[in-house]
Amino acid sequence: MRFDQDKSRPRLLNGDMTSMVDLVFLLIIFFLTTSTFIEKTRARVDLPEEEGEELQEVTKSSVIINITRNGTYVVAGEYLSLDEILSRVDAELASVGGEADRLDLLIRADRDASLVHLNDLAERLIERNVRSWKLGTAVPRGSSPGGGGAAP
Amino acid sequence: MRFKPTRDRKGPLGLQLTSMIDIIFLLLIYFILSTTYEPPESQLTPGLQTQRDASGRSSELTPQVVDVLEIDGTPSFRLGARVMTSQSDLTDLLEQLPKDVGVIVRGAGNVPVHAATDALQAARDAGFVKVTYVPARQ
Repeated sequence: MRFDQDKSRPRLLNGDMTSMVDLVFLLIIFFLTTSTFIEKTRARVDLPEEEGEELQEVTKSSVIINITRNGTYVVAGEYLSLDEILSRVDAELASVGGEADRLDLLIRADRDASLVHLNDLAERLIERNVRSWKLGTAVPRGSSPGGGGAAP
Repeated sequence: MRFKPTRDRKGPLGLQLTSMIDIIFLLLIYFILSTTYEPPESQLTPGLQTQRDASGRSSELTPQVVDVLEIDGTPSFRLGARVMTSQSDLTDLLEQLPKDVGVIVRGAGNVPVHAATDALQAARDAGFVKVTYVPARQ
């Protein structure tokens, strides 16, 4: 038996790359289509799992207020006090001509945060005549937004 | 000047794939590392009212009030004399009520946020169009 290597063969392996490149392209296309870049305005909070409502039109909220589990308010990636948040709300109200109905406000509160923090914010909003808001929820697995909660 | 292309080079054109594959692999690694699963989000849109507004209505138009409170450390819902802990029980009960006057969800104290959203969702699921949230003092 001959165990020594045949030195006449070239040592570079010439594999067919076509199928591998195909596969890699498919993976890239998959990641490109499924990736959604997280908006900076949305903090990482564990939202309450509800199907929510079937909204006629989905608008991009002008103000997004996040409430973390320990009750901290986060707006656009900044940790703010309630007064600071309200001054931003006031600025936004001024930009819509003081018409509170036109203010599109989304509150994303952590499911385990105390209601005290949400209530504090709600009371201060009511003082500014803001009578409508949107509460962010996470759609449970296997459900669709507004799935079971469509109003007749 | 000689514009005529040289005909010395013969044989098939060879495409160098190494750099392209490098870039593709880098892109692939970037997407694998940066991808995070985010569940789809939805919204609940209750109206907002103060406790004073809610109680200042005429008796004929007084809507049903669901209190979200904590009983023995468990988030619970109280509707009239009935107290329940399950969202589906609340939905079933709300389904039997008249829908015209609307429903008020009143949350107070250290109850977790999900208890209030459970009540709001139950009201929507029961068919109420007019759902109002009232922040209450403990």
